[in-house]
Amino acid sequence: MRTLSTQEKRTIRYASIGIGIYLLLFGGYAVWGSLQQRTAAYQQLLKTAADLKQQLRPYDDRVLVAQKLMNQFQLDPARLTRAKVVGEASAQLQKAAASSGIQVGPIRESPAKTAAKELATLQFEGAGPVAAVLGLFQRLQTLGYPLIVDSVQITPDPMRPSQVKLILTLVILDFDQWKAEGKSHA
Amino acid sequence: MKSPPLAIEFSRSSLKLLADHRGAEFPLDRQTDGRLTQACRERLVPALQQFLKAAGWPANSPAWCAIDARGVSLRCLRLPAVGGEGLHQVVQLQIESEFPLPPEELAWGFRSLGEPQPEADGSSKQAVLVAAVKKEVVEDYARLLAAAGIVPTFTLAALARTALVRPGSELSTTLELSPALCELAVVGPQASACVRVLPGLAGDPDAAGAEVQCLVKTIRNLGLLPKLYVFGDSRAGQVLASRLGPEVVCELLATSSGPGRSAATLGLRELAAGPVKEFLILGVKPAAPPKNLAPPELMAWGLRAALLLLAVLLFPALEALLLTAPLAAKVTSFQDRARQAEMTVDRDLDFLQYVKQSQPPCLESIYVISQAAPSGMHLESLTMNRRGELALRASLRNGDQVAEFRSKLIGSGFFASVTVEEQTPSPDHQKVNIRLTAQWKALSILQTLAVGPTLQNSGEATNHPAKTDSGKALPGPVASPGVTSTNPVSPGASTPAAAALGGTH
Repeated sequence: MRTLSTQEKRTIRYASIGIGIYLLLFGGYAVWGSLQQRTAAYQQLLKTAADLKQQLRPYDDRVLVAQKLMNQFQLDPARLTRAKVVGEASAQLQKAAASSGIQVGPIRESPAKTAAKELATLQFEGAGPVAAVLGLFQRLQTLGYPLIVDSVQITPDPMRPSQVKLILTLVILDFDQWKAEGKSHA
Repeated sequence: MKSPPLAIEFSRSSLKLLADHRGAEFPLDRQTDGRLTQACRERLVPALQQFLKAAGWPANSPAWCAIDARGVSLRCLRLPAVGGEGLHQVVQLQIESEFPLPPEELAWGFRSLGEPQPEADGSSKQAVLVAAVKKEVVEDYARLLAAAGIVPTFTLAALARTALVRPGSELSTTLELSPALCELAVVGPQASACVRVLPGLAGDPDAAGAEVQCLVKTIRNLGLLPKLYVFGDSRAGQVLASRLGPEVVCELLATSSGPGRSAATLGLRELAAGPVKEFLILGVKPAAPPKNLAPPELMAWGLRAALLLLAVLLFPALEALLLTAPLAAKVTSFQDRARQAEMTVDRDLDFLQYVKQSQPPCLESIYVISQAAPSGMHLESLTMNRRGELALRASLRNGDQVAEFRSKLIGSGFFASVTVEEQTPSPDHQKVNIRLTAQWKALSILQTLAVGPTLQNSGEATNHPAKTDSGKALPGPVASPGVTSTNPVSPGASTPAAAALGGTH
């Protein structure tokens, strides 16, 4: 192989440097562009995270309110099961009435209107002192079941002058319909 | 037993190598300036490697290496007696003042000759033997040997030969006779030293009259020690001894012959067996960097600054590169969980609020009726539903009480409308039977009325007045729906409502 002259070597050296600079510039430009794109995507992701944080901030308060209501009604919606809630609520109602001093009468149960998010209707009859009746009203809200008073009828008991007869119609709410509603929102 | 190190001699025309009992000799080709040719180097390196491999020497083996006296300056200096590093600096200063080249451009070394001797002026001086040669010569050899995997330590061949004369002796005159050139080294007792390179005795020594005559003349002029030790060609030594006459005693020292064996290589072995201080080691001090370059610290700081700048520029991109994937996964997972939690919380809260808002204010309603009931009123029936409709049948004493009762009900602000649908006097005109209907106000309004006792005072069972929207106080211990007490109303309490429901008030 022929030995290169000094001038040829210098030419090759300059050409190599030129090509190197060219590759460096254009390669660097491409790499820089790619890095910029990634940086922009990362910034967008950070913004999404910040928005998410902002979006969830009110939920701190909502959770507190829900917790307070759960404590107030002694009711945990997550533990309610459609299959058992009617029976358990009826039993609990009778227990509360008896412990309040009310003589429990007939209880009638009928299916309620599905459209109104109601699971069943309970009609409870009993008799007892006025204070016991008022106490039962108070305790209805803390039985741990979603009971809504639909109607109340109070009449004096002619057989026992100090007592009253109570006909109470209660509606048991269907929590599953809220669940379905939540899913439809999702 | 420790094996002797490699011993190498660079003579004018050959390289002799002695490793244990094996030896080799390689011819050298030199340029006109005395340096090895490139072809010679390229030939020597593999040959040396092959020899070492065959002799079983590992790479980077240490070697003592003796160089010929060509270009070497050997002097004996008398210097103030100082020890350790101080002597090195004194010698360096002496080299700067007495040698033609600065120490940085030389490969130089020294060794003490005996103990310091007191001078007449009371000071103490020490004889030091100094050898120096252009550093390119030593560097040339060092590069060659390094390429072959040898780590050399250089000294003078002329000094190495003295080890064969009298081991441990510091004073001697030696002469190496060879066809190429002769080396005469003198280390005298009066702190005089020199090394001379003289023409070689090629061919028949008897016939080489001019060369022998030159040798004789030089030896006589130097005023040598009484004894001259001669190595090399024995025939030439005999001729030289006869020419020198009885003034100089010549002792011919025969060395074992064979490849790699010479007075220098064998002397190196002898020296290596003794203490290291016997060696005069030719060392190379690195030259100072050119002054027009930036100091190393500045360069280092500049490099650091450039790296820092690059890091600052690349950090956002690097952060994006490294953290995008984990952050995206985290955000996605968090979005799913948030959606789930959002749905659950919203649903539960909606449900609980619906339960709360759907509770009809039955107790408040009874409370208001009891507060509004006039004395002597007898309640026959009370019906309420969650649509806010209230129907009541009662008997009162007269029409005034009916009007008063209705006025109080309206004044409580609890009812949107109160209608006495029918009032019928009893046959004995002692009572008036009424049938009354009313409609609660909207639940949202009723919640603002704060009808009934509060949570605190219901627990204390005190009669704090509650306010209606008309500002009228409504005293009475009737529980409000929000109370969690299982029995907020004392069973035996005689409330107005109880009285009204149970009979005449």
